[in-house]
Amino acid sequence: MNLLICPSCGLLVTPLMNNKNCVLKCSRCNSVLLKYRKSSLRNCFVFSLSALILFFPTITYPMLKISMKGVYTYSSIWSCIQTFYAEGFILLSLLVLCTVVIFPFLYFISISYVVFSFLIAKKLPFTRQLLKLGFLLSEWSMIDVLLIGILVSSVKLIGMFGSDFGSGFYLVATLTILGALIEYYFDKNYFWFLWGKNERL
Amino acid sequence: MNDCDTDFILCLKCFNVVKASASTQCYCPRCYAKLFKRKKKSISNTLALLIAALLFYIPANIFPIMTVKSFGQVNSNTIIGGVIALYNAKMYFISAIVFFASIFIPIFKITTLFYLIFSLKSKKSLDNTKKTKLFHFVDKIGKWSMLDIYVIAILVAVVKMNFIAEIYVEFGAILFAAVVLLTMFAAKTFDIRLIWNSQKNI
Repeated sequence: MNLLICPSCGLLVTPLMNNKNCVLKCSRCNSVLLKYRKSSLRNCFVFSLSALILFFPTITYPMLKISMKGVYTYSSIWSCIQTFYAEGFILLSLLVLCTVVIFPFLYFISISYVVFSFLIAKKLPFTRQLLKLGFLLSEWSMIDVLLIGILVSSVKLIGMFGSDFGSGFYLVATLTILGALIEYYFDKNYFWFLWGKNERL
Repeated sequence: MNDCDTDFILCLKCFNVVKASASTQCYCPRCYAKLFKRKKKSISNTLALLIAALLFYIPANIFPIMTVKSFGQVNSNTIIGGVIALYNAKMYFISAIVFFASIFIPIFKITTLFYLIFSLKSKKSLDNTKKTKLFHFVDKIGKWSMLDIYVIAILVAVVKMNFIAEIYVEFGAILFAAVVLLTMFAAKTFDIRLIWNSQKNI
């Protein structure tokens, strides 16, 4: 990487890379240009794989349970989507399906696949496409917003029913943490640089 | 030196720096994306999306987003009505979260993006570093407006099977989701580098 252009202000920068664990910032607008984190590949792989393992239980396990006069009901992510669909709000059910299920799942799967190809230093098929997809979807995955949504819903239900968190809530919280950790280690510029190096092998 | 004054183009998909000739359409050799010095029709597209968002924002706040039926009572809640109800129930912290996510963030995002667009022509405005920070902040917080949509989804699903109360989704929820999506797309189409174009080289 001999030359960089700041994506926020367009300043041409010649990076000086002498430290493995550093964040490079634009001297003009202070935006982050590059992030070098120690063991970023290994950590990204571990976190994205863990997220994938937890993903399907997170979708199906109950997030919130309510009880009143012996009647128990619960809601999982999947039941939320189904209810919107059944009520005739197909666009809203699609929106929730995409932002909470499809986009995060594709994001985690593309990160694990791409990082795996970097770790074994082999050119695997569709790496470029998945790298592009991963970066695109990272901004549209909203598991963290859902976590706060569960907390707000539980507080709203307090006045009407006895509400309790289900195992799905703790899984959503874990996925949120894993997502934040991946974001910490995952850097667009660095990963594309590695992809270029991998291509030349 | 600014990239506009050189032959170099930044690929916004993979951040590759490509040396390009001015006459031909250029593609990134790394990710094959089309390359432009600046996003095409960035200002007009952002303005169109912002105006659409503003047009949806007003009815989204007038129409109810959900209706609660319990013990023979029917309550239709608008976004602001929900915030007031939480405040009256002394749930101050939660009402503040919902207020910020559903009312403050969308309107703050719309006004900030309008300001950034109109500041391109105006001489009296914040300095460019502050404007860039403001844009990044607005871009980051945009998705938190989806909070109300998820709250409705969870409430409707959890109460649906319970015959003591019923919660229905209302048309306002669709309008509100449209506002959130439009403002998010508006932030994605705006090219923040435009504010630095007029800046003298450093």
